[in-house]
Amino acid sequence: MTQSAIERLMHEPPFTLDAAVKAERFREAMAEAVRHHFANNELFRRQAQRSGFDPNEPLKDLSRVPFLPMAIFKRLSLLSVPEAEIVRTLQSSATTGSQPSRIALDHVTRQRQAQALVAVLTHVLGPERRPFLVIDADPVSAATGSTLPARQAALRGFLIAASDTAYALRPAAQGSLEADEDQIESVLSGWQSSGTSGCIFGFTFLLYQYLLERLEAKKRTFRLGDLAVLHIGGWKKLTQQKISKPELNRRLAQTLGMSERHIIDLYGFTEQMGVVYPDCAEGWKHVPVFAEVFARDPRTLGLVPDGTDGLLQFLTPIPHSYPGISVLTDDLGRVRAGRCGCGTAGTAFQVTGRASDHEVRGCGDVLAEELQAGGGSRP
Amino acid sequence: MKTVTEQQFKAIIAAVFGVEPSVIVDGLRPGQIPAWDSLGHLSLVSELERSFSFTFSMEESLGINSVADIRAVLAKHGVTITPV
Repeated sequence: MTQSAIERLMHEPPFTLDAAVKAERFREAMAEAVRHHFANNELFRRQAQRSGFDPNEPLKDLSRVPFLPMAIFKRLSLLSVPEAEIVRTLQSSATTGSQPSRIALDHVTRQRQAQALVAVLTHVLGPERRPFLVIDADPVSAATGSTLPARQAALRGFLIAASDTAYALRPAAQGSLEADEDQIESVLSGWQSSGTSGCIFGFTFLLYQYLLERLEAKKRTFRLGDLAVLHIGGWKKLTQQKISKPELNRRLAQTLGMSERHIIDLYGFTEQMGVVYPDCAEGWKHVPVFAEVFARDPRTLGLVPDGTDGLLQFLTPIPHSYPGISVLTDDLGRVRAGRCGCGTAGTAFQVTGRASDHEVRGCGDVLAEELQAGGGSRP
Repeated sequence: MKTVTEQQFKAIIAAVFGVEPSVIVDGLRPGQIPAWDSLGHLSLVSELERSFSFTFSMEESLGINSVADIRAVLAKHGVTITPV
């Protein structure tokens, strides 16, 4: 089999390709992905037809690629390959009253996800693997089998960057978690005394609740000058507690004796797992070569001008087994083009919140309902 | 350890996955045996690092998609696998 435009794209440097070259390579790869899902997924085809999109015409304007609202992945199991090719199903955590997303993965998708993640992690951490302290429980003790909770899947993916892995939490009563304070103390003091460049990784809220608050309560501080902290999962719970990103960074840096520049917030979501967006030194998230982002007006779903808040839509040709190549999220944010103060060129974005207002939330839901009403491919 | 026999090479991998050494053929790929899943892959890389005293980069770890790929990475790091 000759290498496809998508496979070629996955081997490009993630952030340094010339903007015009990136645009061309990305367009080729997206055109290939669009043709695959148009031919193999009824829902994607219907959404394309609704918007008058013809996959056989040259793809000139990426903003015209049909998008699916995130809510549709909670309503339907969507496949773009025969069911026999599915090797794993991811299940996102359901918030109260909502259905979890179920994302079916084949080998092709999983391989691309791993390539994408390694490309970005290499950019953030350097090529060498490091010892990790994961702010979660050991996944071996969690559920196994072909259906994997998305949080566990996300954790596993990142462990490719780990040369050694310790877990800071352990299962407690009634399925909850608790901090393993001896383990945390032993790992961090070990890194401090040996001068190890370790990495603390976990979900933002767990990092805050089980590591930072505990250490602060004990007034325990470290001097970990080479430490990196990666965290993912969003700000909803910390925002409720009025904890901002600058405050979290300041307090982590103070307690761990590290540079705030090495505390990196990652954005990503289950429907496009593998693609993560780290903060740059200027606080923007640059899209890698294998992704693109648009912001859309919550009411009209048209594009909003650069710098204006809108619903974020993400494009990536990575999903092969399900039609997640163009997803309209519930997250609000702003998009910017041009060269950033950090030196990186190309599109960048910031997440500013979630569409919690009913009118805004309703829009993705209405679209999802309309699409579902036309019949979906439910296996 | 910079030189191992073919038998030792297969035994190291077989021990990680809890299978007979005869299962370890060049064409064996992740997913073909249950133990070679994403976590099994991490154990494999750790064990190879311990056995041969070098560290894999993220790219090298990602690049291992068969037993033949393991041979290639070991060769790159100066490990010789002798027939006997």
